[in-house]
Amino acid sequence: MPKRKKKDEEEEIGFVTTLSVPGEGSVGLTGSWRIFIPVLDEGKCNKCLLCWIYCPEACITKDIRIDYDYCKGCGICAEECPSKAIVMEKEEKKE
Amino acid sequence: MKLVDTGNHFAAWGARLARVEVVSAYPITPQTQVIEEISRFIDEGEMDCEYIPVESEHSAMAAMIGSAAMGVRSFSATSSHGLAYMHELLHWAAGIRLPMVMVNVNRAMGPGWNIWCDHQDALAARDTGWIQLYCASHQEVLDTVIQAYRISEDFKVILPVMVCYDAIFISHSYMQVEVPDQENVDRFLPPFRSLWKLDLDYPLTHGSVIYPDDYEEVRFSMFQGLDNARGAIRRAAEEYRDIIGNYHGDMVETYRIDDADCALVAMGSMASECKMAVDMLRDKGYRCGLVRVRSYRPFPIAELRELLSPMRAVMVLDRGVSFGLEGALFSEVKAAIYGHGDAIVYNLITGLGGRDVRYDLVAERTEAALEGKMAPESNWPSLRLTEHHRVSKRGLEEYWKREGVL
Amino acid sequence: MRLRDFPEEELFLQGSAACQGCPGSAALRVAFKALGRETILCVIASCTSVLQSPFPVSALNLPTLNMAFATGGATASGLTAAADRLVARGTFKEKPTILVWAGDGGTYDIGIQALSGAAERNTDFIYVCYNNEAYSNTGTQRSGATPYAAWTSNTTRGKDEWRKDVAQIMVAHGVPYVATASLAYPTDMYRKFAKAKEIKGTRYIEIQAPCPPGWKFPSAHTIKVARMAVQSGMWMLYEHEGGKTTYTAGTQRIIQGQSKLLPVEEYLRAQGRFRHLFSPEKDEERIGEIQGRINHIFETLQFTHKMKEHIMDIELAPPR
Repeated sequence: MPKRKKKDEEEEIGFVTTLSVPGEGSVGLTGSWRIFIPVLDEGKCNKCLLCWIYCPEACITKDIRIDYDYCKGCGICAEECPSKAIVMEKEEKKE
Repeated sequence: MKLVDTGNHFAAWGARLARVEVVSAYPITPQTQVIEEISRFIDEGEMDCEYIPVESEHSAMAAMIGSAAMGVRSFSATSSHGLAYMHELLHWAAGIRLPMVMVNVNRAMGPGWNIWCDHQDALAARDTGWIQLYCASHQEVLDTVIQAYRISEDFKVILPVMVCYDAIFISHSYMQVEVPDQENVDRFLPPFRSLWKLDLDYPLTHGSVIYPDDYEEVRFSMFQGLDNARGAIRRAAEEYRDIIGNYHGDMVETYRIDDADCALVAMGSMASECKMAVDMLRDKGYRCGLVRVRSYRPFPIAELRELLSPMRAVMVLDRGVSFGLEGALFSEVKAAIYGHGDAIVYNLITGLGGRDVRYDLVAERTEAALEGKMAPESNWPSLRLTEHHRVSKRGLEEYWKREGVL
Repeated sequence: MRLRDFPEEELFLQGSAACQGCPGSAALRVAFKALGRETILCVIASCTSVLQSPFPVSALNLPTLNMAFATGGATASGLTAAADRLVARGTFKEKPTILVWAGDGGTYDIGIQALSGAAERNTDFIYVCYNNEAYSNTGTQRSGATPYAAWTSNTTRGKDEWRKDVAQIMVAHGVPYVATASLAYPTDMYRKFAKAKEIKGTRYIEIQAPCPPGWKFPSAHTIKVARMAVQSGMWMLYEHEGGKTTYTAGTQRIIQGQSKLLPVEEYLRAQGRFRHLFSPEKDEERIGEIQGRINHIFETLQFTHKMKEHIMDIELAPPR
């Protein structure tokens, strides 16, 4: 998310609309919402792609890499994984 | 080309000459002939345009927002309850910052189904961010629809324009009008342009959630857009005169104002009637003039201040009422000249629901005001209780007796 | 279409404002994959207005117009009329897909007039209702799509009325394509979107969208609850075109006898919004009513299916 520009008294308001630009992290790094973290055991993964398609946040790539910057920790991937290759673990938050 | 036709048909001609490409509208008396004529133009191949026969006015405005957002010149027409029904989307259309034009045939609001003229419908839509232009003749309707696109598509403005004209008096009466050549209109009005659209190659999202931190600037930008419209309206009127020939004033139109020490202020066809009243008052020795407000939003603050501040008295005619206050135009004229000069401002609320506004009544009441026989507040000069009111009242009183209400 | 053949490109971008386990963003992802970049999106007031994230950054990587609540069908009419003009003028080589995305409030209730009008005009667009069976965006009030006996914030002892069925109302409009979909069956959903994309006229797709906070289940169970809805017969998967309804995926398997109906009790137990049916004591009557309705529908469909097979056998029997 771009940093808000400091309000400049001199700046003319001009054409300000409610247009938004597309971008990742539109509300920031949503990985910070997470309490439980999905952990992948690649040995068990059979690449069925169910986690990829079920993830509501597009946080698992098609080659099954989890994007922890944005993963909100909903747990759908672990719940749906037929070979139990993903488990949810309590996340140790780094300061 | 000279043509004798109705105001509604000339509004349709305006859309046709402006090369409108999408029309979405829902029929409502007294606007129906506008869309019937456009349908005929399309069916007969005289207009290359999509017509969307929507199922309501709310949808008419939604569809128009959709087509304008795709970058296509769009038009609609409505009146009264139709305008009220689309009220939510009037805000949306202005807030989306896209150009578009709609005519509103000024008609009274129910209950009591009344298809005749007053300005209550458009006055209630005053604060939606639309530019509102009021016409006083058939020729002005046609010319203003074309001008409205120039104003709406001006890069300093980019806001929707509502072209208002009076039900029945203009919408349904026949007058002779000079229909401009397409070639000249094309010189005056370039192809559609706007500052954004739904673009597959450059995806933007319009109108998601916006927080208090960000919202006010968006509204101020609209405020500025309407402010900038003053210049755009003037330029459109002047260039239209230079290229096509007709001129109906810019923000205001004046009549016998130069040496006047008192003035009438009015909007719409009633303002034409006031010219007769001015003549009558002049004959009686009053140095009276007329200011017809052509642009209600943006409001002609500078013009009114300049013209009216030196006057000793101003009579404002309202064809609508702000309940619990007074005539809306009255309030605003007072606000415009507040602190400038000592004109006493009077108000007539008249002509509601299509009641005839007679020039002799206007002249008589103005004379009364000038002679100090009227309070500077809202006056309702054409009120009278008729047998119809009495029949209705007696019926209700019978009911009260039966129910023991009184 | 297998999962591995779905496009990799994400048009719904990560880091949105959607809740954990949101069915709306999950549905958007599959729809966008099937429809592709040549799509103009109109979002009707709903959770999707919020989950796309606030000004000035958007999780939607398509040209998007957010619109007022009651406008879905009508806005599409304007978008598609303008798109036709742009095709006629040569600005567009091909007409983009016009996609309206609305919730059940914007579809079943406040927006049904505009939707019906657009369907009657056979407006060329895809209308999606992602149905979370309540006004989730405003805090889970009842909607016309809320099922019988479900808790919402203004039906605290469970809704007294049965839901209406807008998909069937759209079938009655005679539009060229109507389909229902479930998040638990992504290939079925993808196929329906891909098919709808190729059809001209009004296409209606309704996706059941189990909402973790609204329906009161853990965010990890969104897909599980969606699957149980189909398995229990509370949500049926079908498509309707050319006057014919074809049941698909999980629903088809139940009708054809390949799998058994899951007792609805299990589906209801999985959600907090039906907790009052089990606690403090079990409400056999209302659970029975729900199960009875499902049984009636499926017995009829199973019977019809068997009869059809029987008739087909006769028709296909070699002439003597």
